[in-house]
Amino acid sequence: MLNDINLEINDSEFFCLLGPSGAGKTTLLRIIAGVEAPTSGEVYFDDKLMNDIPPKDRNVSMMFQSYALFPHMTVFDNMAYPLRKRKMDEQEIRKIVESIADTLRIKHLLNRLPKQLSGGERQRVALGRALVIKPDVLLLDEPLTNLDAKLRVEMRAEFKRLSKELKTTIIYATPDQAEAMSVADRIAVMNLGVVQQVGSPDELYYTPKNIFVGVFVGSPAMNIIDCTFVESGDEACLDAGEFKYRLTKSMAEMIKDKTSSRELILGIRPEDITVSKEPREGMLMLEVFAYEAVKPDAIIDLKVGNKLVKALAPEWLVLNPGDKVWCGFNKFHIFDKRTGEILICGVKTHG
Amino acid sequence: MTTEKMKSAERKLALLMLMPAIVLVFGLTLFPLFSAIYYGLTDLDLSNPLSGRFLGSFNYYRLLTTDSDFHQASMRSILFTIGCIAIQLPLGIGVGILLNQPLKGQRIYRAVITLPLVAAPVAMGQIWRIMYHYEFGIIKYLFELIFGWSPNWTADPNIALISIIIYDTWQWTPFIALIILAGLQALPTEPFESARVYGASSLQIFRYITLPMLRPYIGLALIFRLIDTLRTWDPIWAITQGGPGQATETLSFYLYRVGLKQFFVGYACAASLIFLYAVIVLCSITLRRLRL
Amino acid sequence: MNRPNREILQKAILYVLIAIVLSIMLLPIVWMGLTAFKSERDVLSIPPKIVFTPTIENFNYVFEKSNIIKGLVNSLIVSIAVIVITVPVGMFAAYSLARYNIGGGHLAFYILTIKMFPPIAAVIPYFVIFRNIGLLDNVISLILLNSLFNLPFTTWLLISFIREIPVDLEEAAMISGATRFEAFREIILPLLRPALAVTAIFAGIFTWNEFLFAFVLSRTEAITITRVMAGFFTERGILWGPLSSCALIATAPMFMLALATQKYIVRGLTLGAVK
Repeated sequence: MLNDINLEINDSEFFCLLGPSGAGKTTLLRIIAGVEAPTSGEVYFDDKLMNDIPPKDRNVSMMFQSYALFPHMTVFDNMAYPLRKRKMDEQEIRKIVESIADTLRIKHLLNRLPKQLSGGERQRVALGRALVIKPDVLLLDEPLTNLDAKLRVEMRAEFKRLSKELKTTIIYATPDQAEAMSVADRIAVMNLGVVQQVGSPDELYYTPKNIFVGVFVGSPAMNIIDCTFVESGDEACLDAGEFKYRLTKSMAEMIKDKTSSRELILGIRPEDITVSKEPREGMLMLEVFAYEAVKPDAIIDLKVGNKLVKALAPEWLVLNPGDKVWCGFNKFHIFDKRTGEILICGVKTHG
Repeated sequence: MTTEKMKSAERKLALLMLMPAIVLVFGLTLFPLFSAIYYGLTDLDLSNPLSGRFLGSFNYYRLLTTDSDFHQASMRSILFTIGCIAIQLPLGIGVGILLNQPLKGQRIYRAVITLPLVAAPVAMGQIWRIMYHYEFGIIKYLFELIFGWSPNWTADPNIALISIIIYDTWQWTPFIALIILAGLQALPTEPFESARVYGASSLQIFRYITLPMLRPYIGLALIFRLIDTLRTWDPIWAITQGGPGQATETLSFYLYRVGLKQFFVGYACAASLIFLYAVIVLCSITLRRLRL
Repeated sequence: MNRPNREILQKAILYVLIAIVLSIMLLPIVWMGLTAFKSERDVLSIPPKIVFTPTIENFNYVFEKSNIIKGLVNSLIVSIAVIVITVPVGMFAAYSLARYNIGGGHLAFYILTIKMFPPIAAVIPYFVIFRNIGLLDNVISLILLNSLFNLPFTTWLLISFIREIPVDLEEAAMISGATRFEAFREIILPLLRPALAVTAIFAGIFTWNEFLFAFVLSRTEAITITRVMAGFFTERGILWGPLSSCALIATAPMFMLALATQKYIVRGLTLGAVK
């Protein structure tokens, strides 16, 4: 399931594993925790080889997506469990558990059973149980997935705040790119068991390494337009059917350097398309297919040939299906269609 | 390099936990199994202290070719099994569906339904024998009341096996019903609701939605009944003692008669092994066809 | 205006059907109860009587002339012993098989095949063996055989129950500092308690009702309640009355157990099916 993962995570970093279901995030977390063994490869904490060390000796904490609360124990006992396993004095345990319960605002629930709690409360108990031992590494497996939207956004801020307070290394798995982008110091984007790219949120957004990362990060998603690299004599351009984009010589050289394929992909983010009702020179005329009146920026679907391209427009620009507008591409990326790899990033244009 | 140590520590625990079961099972099956294999190759006769000569495969030869008792007993076992399953499965499904209806008193129904299952077969078998009795039996009485005539349930060689099938149905239909009930309650409601919306009749729903979705449960019940009907012994002893004559002598009872009444242990062991082999093969085939 | 009438009619039919089914289920049991209290004359009367003067002469006969007390005691001993053996052994084996799948499916299959054994096939060699080592007519032989034959079902049932418990829980425990065994003891075991109860009930009932082994392997010392019934087939003919009382005594405890634990029994069967 996991293939050739090489990750280095820094001390006290808030590191995110971002990817769709089945990407391998949970598997990776479990390997770090020690409940699953890799077929080959090593896991190191600082310079210590952890492969043969059982989970209980690794000083990690994990919060499961299903919370995994012990149904037959009270909230207090659930949270006290890791401490009891470390043979701590009961007085000490009580102090620690109560203080953490206080921070997480679940102190009033200490005597309840998990089945008497709401989803949000259970989540906080699971988090509490993970925090009681001050772990070296805190692993969080999609902790917010089971919560409703509003709670999710609230808890995101909580996590950010918590991570500043604790000094532990946090590894956080999620399929939600907005979540990852907002909380993480660095993110590893994963798909189908392979790490696609590692970098800070900015790096992923501005310089995606391949189509997957480009499309996965950012919302609404990056538009993908097929085009062909055409050379005629001294001139080179990208032919996308509906329009052509003339390439500079250096760009053409770069492309030819990196790939022999002529099938390319133009990737452009909705926020990098300018839309105007008045015709402007050098801009492309496109027809509006649909208009979603979302705030703050409306999403416009534009017809390019027989495909749709999404663009953002400020709220004062009201459009109807069938309207003709003029669009400019401010910035886009060029990818190799066959391999998905980035060829040229961030091409800036005037239209 | 990999987590070999961890894996092997876990394996040790797993094996340790499995140990008692393995000891029990292998300890108690291997020796008798080998004994049976050995005896099957002899002419051991417990009533004859001089017996025990090695015969090679003579017993097997006789069993498979000339022993008509053995063949007929096998036929009866097959008939019994088919008869039981053919009746109990549909009945069980019916009762299961019946129990699934929203009626009052569900708890009582289920409680009563479990009673035949927990009653000792030999005890209830005796009672049925009383009920089947040709003179004072109540079944005979009721039958005559409704149909004007009654067969001789236990003394008529043509009916005797059926009488036992009827008994077995009484005892085990609740089992099937409960499994089907469990299945029905585990089914999602959406398919049924959408079928109703599309105007399907109850019969159509049953045939095209309910039954297919119940397949795993029916399969489970089928396997259980298959294994159990082949093993049935207690009721036969209690109701007809294998008679009249040999009319209800299934393979199980045949083994009893030959091995423990006539004491031809060697011969009976050979027969047992053939029986065992047939059962395992049959069940494996059925299991495979059901799982896949 | 036809619809409500139709619904009432449908409901009525259902109730009638259920009544029929329940009557059939109860008939033999009720008949047993009645016959147990009939005098010999009443038992043999044609047509069979439903109204009669009850008598306890059958019970007197049973308690005087047969070994019923010993039978009950032995049955209890064997049943409890079998529970004590099969439930823990089955539980450990089930955990091992459910979580680790040792030996692929082969081991599990071998255990399952025991269930397929016709008991009669096992009894014959056992009879010879026990006879040779002098364990005939001894409760130990009954305990051993019943344990062997109950283990597959016990194990299989517990495997289903264990599969119900998410693996997450044990992993969370292990990450929290528990060894695998501690996780088993502190997390799985408490959650398994109702399952163990169900399994124990089933094992107990099967063993109590078991006849063949008792019949073949016991005579007077290890006689069980089921075997006591065989004693009513005398040369004088079958003693129907005492037979029925004995049957009643033998089955009554199980009926009461079933009614009391009905919830558990249904759940046990249900869960096995949903596996």
